[in-house]
Amino acid sequence: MADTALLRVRDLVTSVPTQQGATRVVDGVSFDVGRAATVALVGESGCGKTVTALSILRLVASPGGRIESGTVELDGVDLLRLTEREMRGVRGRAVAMVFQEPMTSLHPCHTVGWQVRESLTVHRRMSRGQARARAVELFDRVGLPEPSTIYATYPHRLSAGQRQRAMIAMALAGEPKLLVMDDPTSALDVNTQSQVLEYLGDLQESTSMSILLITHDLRIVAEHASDVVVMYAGRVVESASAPDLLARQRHPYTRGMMECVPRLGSLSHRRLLAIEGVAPVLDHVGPGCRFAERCPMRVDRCAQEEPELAAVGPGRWARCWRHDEVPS
Amino acid sequence: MSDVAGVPTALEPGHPRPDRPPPLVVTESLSKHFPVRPGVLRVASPFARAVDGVSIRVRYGETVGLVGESGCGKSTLGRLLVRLVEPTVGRIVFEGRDLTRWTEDALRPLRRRMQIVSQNPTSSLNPRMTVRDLVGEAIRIHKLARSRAQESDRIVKWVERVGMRPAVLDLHPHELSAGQAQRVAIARALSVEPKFVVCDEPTASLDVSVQAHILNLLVDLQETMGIAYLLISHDLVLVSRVSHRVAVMYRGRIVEQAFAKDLCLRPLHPYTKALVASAPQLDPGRIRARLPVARAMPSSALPPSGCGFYERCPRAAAGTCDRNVPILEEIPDGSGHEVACWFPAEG
Repeated sequence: MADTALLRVRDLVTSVPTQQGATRVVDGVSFDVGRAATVALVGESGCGKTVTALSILRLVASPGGRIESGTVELDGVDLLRLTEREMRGVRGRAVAMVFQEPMTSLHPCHTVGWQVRESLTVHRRMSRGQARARAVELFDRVGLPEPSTIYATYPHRLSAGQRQRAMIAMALAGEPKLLVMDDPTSALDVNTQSQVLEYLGDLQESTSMSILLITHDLRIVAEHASDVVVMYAGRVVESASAPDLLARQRHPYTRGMMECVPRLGSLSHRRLLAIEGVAPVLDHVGPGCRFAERCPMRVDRCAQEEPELAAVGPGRWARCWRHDEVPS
Repeated sequence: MSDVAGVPTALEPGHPRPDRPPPLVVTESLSKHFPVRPGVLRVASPFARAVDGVSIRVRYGETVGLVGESGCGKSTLGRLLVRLVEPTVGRIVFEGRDLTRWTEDALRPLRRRMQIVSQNPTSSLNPRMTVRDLVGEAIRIHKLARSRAQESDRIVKWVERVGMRPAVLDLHPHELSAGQAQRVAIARALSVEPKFVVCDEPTASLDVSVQAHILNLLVDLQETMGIAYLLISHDLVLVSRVSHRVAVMYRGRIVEQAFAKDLCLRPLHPYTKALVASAPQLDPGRIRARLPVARAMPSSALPPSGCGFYERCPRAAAGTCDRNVPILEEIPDGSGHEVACWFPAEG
């Protein structure tokens, strides 16, 4: 399995400058993305999931970040060892990213059609006429109504959902092997989001494109992901196939996140379950498990010694001393 | 139809008793039409009917959930209710007084009784002000403190009440997490002791664990202060968990309204049925129904002559649904369940 993975991230460490010096916001992260798989990278804000994605594309320099160590292999090639010029050939082609806020990623002074066409003429070296036809086709494919009207529309005239679809069309223009989507749920309503992901799922069947989906919504994971990587405070705390993880959690943090999700079944009680406390400030992490302070299952050992990410079953890993005892 | 002195016929356990029969907020045929420029999206009508003839009630101490997809007009309705947007047609009655034509000056003392908490806390807070100033501003404007010391006490009390430490008082919005910023926005809105608060997607930008904390906070404050909420969200599951009653909005109109549990277990409008069936949930094995997708843009700028859901509706009947607008009416079983459909599902 691991040999056939499209993307292999190993021991990735990325730091960002803070008042206390460089803080490792991604600290030894490893995971695989298989071919045609949809891997969800899950965790709360600040857990390092977006920086992990940006590190894959080597786009951390502008917020002042630095990739300290590790490898990011795409089809066996370590992206971290490429020159910047070579890397530019990877971005938008082999790996494309859809950013969180589509309005800030689209150029306000050009029509969305122009922007997709440009991507096609640059990356795919198409003629303008070919590129135009292809752009309209892509708009149709991501479910935008009246694609040729949309082609001539400026971003501010589109709804948030339409803008995000336009962004996805632009990302798909390069026919990427890996599509990275950063928290698409935050800008969109759940139904629109599910529709977008369903279109992508259909597309995956014909192109075997892989998707790395960054999200904090486990309901999106349940419906669209094949595998899940859960991050907490810069670390991977659990990873498994999506059905396995949803059926049973082997880390108390994942368990807690599951309990926070409101469900239709339980309508009698007006209060929701919540995980107490907040994530640790990363420049003062102690030697113990980073979740220990908030963990309902902590024992003395947890505060002193951090567990390794250990294999806890076929194809699943957890970073917890008591992974066998997490209630189901 | 719109029953101003509407007394609920059936109460859920835990639902606030209608001690004072007239509801806190009542609207009658409330509409807001925005002018639109004809252009790229082939707009035929010069007006977009963002809110189109809405009659709803919010009772004292009650949470009414307002659910719908983006662009259905739910935020505009919320803003109409607190008079941040001028209605085109219709009436808004608040605590028995018709405020529809009140001037801004006349409204000012009433602003204290109706507040709004918006979706994006960091953009709704002035970045140059500290938490102390942000919370204090509301208290000062409404003259709720007699002295500086009293004002300061009140600020500290509210910061603690929304679950933060006084250490945050001197921070600016950019130094707060999204959850903390939303707590500040809640403290600002609630420190003036309102009776009615519109919460427009209060947790849309927050993590699930933080979302639970914020919603629980709103429920706690409601129970101690007797506030009524209009909770606006696109998330039916979430809204029905924390609301007493839920109204479903589609293209500017309320299509169904019922007690939360009743609505989820017994949706009568085909649109609500689709929303319930398509709500993303945690069971991986479940086959989720897809919401019927309209390839043609359901734009509120093209007012349909009949039911707004006609093009997407699996039950639509030509001759009726495309010609006449169904009226929101209570079904005759005493449950208070209201639906606007010519062919509602059987209960």
